[in-house]
Amino acid sequence: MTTHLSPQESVNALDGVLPQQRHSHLDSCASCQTHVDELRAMMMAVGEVADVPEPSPLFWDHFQARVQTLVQAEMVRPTSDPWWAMVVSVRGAMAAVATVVMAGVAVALYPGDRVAPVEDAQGAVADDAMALETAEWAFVSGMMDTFEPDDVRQVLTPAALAVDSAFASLTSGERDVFAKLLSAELARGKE
Amino acid sequence: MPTWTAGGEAEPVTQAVAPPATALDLAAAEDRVLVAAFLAGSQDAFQIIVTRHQRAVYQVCYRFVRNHEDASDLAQDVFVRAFKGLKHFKGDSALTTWLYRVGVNCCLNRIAARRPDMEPLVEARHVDPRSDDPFRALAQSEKATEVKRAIAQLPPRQRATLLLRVYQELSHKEIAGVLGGTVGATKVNFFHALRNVKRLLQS
Repeated sequence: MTTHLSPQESVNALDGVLPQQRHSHLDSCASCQTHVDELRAMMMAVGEVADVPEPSPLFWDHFQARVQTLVQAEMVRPTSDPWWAMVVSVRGAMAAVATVVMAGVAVALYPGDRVAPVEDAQGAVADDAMALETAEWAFVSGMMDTFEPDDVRQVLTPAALAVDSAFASLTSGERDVFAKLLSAELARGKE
Repeated sequence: MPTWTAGGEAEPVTQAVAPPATALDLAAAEDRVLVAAFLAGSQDAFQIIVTRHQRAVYQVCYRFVRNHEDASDLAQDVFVRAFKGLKHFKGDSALTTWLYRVGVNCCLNRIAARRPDMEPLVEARHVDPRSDDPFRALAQSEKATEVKRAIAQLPPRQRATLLLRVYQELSHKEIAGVLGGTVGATKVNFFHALRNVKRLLQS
């Protein structure tokens, strides 16, 4: 008595590539025949499921155009940053932190109910800052000494083509939402 | 104006293949010639690759996600990834198989990222009331919906194996190339996929 067909052999039987010796077993084994017939019936049932609906002919032109747009966006996106870019970005990030801390100090020194002319405020900030002998201020001023104005500007300015790249990464649904928000903002601006 | 070029320091996929001189030659060229032309800087080669394979890639994606919007997004993603990754295509399998591999990976990632309750359970049934036997048509439509639902519940690799074998008519060897693994493992996956579809239809 031979063993029943393994899963792999059952698939071979479906494909008609079962070796003769094992085919002899299949011919004489009702259990294996039932098994293979059931698999065949399932394969036919799966195959009979309605095929993929064909999109409209215009879809393919639109599809190619979108692929081209995405590919062009990929081409302008830098593939990898040089090693020194990380150093620059770290310095830039630290400059941003220092800027935020400076802004926090300014807000702490000038709460909202003390509105003063710009010239007076600048003078007051300078006076108060000079008078501030706290460790925090020493830390902030120490950090600021290490940054160039260009570093701060780099952090606060969007990278070239960043908007294009961000837009290209949106899904079609997100683009629809973005378009609606943009339309609403433009309409509000006209009012 | 950007062009459709691979960029980078890619090695030609088949060094013996000389890129055709004109777009007319490219349109009739084999896939390996198109890939070589693309890696050599041809602007038109990639566009022809997209045009030639877009329908097959879209169909694979559609069979995974069962809706046009997601299938369209996934198919776009496949070609963008292909654009970036063609320099790694070694030419030891058909370009179609390689694109299927990229497509299946995209689809499996999408499925893995999506919560199960976001899968459409029941698709719209289109039964033509003018057909000879609308009741029979409705029964067939309901059966098709049940089969689709059962396929959607399969484990990802079994689902991918079943779709590639039954609909794309890939051989088990080609499926092994797409999904990774051995031919034997692919056959066992196919076996279990059919068994599970049967079990799910009966439950």
